[in-house]
Amino acid sequence: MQTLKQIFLIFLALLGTQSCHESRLNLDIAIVPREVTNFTEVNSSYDDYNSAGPLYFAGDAFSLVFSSNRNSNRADFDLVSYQCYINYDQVNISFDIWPDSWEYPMVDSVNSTHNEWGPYLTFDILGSHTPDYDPEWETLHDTSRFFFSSDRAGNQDIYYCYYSPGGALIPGQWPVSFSSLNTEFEEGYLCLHQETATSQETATGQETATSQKAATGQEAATKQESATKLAYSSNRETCYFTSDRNGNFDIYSAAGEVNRRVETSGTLQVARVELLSSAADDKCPYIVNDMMVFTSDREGGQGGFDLWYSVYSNGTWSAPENFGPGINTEYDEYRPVIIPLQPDLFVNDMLIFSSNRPGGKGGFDLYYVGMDKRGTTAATGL
Amino acid sequence: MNISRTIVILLTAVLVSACPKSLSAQDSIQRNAFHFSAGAAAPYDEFAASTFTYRAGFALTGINLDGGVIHYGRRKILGVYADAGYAFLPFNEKRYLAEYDRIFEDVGTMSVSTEGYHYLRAEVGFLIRTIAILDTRIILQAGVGYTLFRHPYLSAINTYWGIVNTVNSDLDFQLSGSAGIRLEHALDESAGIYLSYQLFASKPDFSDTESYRDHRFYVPVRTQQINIGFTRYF
Repeated sequence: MQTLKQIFLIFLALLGTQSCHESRLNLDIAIVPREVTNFTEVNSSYDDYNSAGPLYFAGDAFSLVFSSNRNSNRADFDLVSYQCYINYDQVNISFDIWPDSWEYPMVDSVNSTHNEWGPYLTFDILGSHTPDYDPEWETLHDTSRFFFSSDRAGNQDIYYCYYSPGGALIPGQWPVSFSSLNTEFEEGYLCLHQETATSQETATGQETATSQKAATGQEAATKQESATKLAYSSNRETCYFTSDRNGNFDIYSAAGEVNRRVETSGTLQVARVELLSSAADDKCPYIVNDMMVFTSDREGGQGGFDLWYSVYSNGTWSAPENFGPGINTEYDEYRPVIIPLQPDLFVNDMLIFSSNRPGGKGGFDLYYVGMDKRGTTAATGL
Repeated sequence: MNISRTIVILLTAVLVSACPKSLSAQDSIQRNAFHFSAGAAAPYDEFAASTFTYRAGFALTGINLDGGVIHYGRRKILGVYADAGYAFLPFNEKRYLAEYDRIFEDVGTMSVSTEGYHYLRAEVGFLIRTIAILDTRIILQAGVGYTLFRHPYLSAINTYWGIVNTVNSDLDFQLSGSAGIRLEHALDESAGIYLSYQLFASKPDFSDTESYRDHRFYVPVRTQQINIGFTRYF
């Protein structure tokens, strides 16, 4: 029988029953796993933390910039960058990230012999839908912004510079202090927020899971594009940052002027965000699409610094929620960053954070985990 | 394969012992024959695979019906045939669900909905008869044809993630091939019975419109068909 089968297979080969198509998929769109995974390939035995959101995200590739003291043998923190490729398989349902060391010229330009922390990159694309913007905004539309904090002037302050789409600093535009925010106290971890129309809708997470299915493909892309247009039509940027100017670290907001970028606004309305701040330390706010994630050692956590989130709706932030034991541990979890994944490719988003929990490569390590787009985490054991 | 071999040997023994006829019965049979058979179609290789691996078919053993005509040459050794057949193979829903449960572990509860594979084939080919011993001959055959396949509707729903997968049923008409061996015993000058073992293969491709960018995929259909049938010589 075996011989018969072999003859038959040769016979079939001669027949040329060809096909170049692929295997049947077992997932319509990919899912980032709920298990917290050590980002082994980018971590070192030194402290690796304070990552930034992606400089860009194209399909399944994204850039990653974070702080590490690996280059100075723990003497000071510098920014390092990687190019990451998501490898997801919808047949055997696996998920992996392959990082490729990639030095952005601007990262080299920003690093100093002092500490650089909390990078935050914007990818400013202002299209033809912004005819009412003032000329200054328009002339800057093709230059994106790079915020970070550094103690190069003695205490931790926020700095910014501009970079081109190629990842190099704009000539002559060296990092400058964000003087209207900085004080003699510690300031850092700036991020931007632009109120979108979707902020007015509730984000209670009560939508059925099947609605995620409807948000696939072209429809989702159109929806996202509309949201982006609406975001810029608000014409006012608000930034959030951390400061200990009131004794302990709290989260502050600073609203810019209409039609101006926040860093070029003449006056900023700086205020402590009471709803997000506590008597403990609240740090590292990071916002994507009306969802803020931050770290805090307030009561109600799992111990040490924990990750928390809050959703912006109807002009206010919701009461912070702890991400739960699926993500938080008795050790420190720090500097969470949401990586918004294309809704037509992924059901959920990705959360990257750092932690000094055991089992890593040493010191703080970067970790990633799937995070539900609904404003709750996939790892909370719902 | 050992099981198949044992079945063939046992059934041959049964056929031969149950129908002792003279050697002269087959010498006078006609050059044309009509045959019909029924039996089982068992998937093998990737078509039978039931894990989330590439090209896994999740097919289970099903039923197979086959019928056709044969025309022998003057010496009744070489012949040609034309066959038509139908097979249904259930989808291994239990294993399909188990794979999703393995992947999603404690995330929600999975439920799946599946149908079975159907195919309707038509083929022509050649056959060779051996000399008869105790009115029983071995016939080798091989042929090619076209087969109409129907891919089953599949759906997987997770109570947390929602509908994680949907594959709508789809049809494809594809080149196919088969090769087999038949043990035929002549009961008299006009009729006989046979046991056949046949390997069938094709690579139909289908469309998965529910996945991003209308994903196309193929299923390497591989079956072993074991039939018992009746032959009428004319």
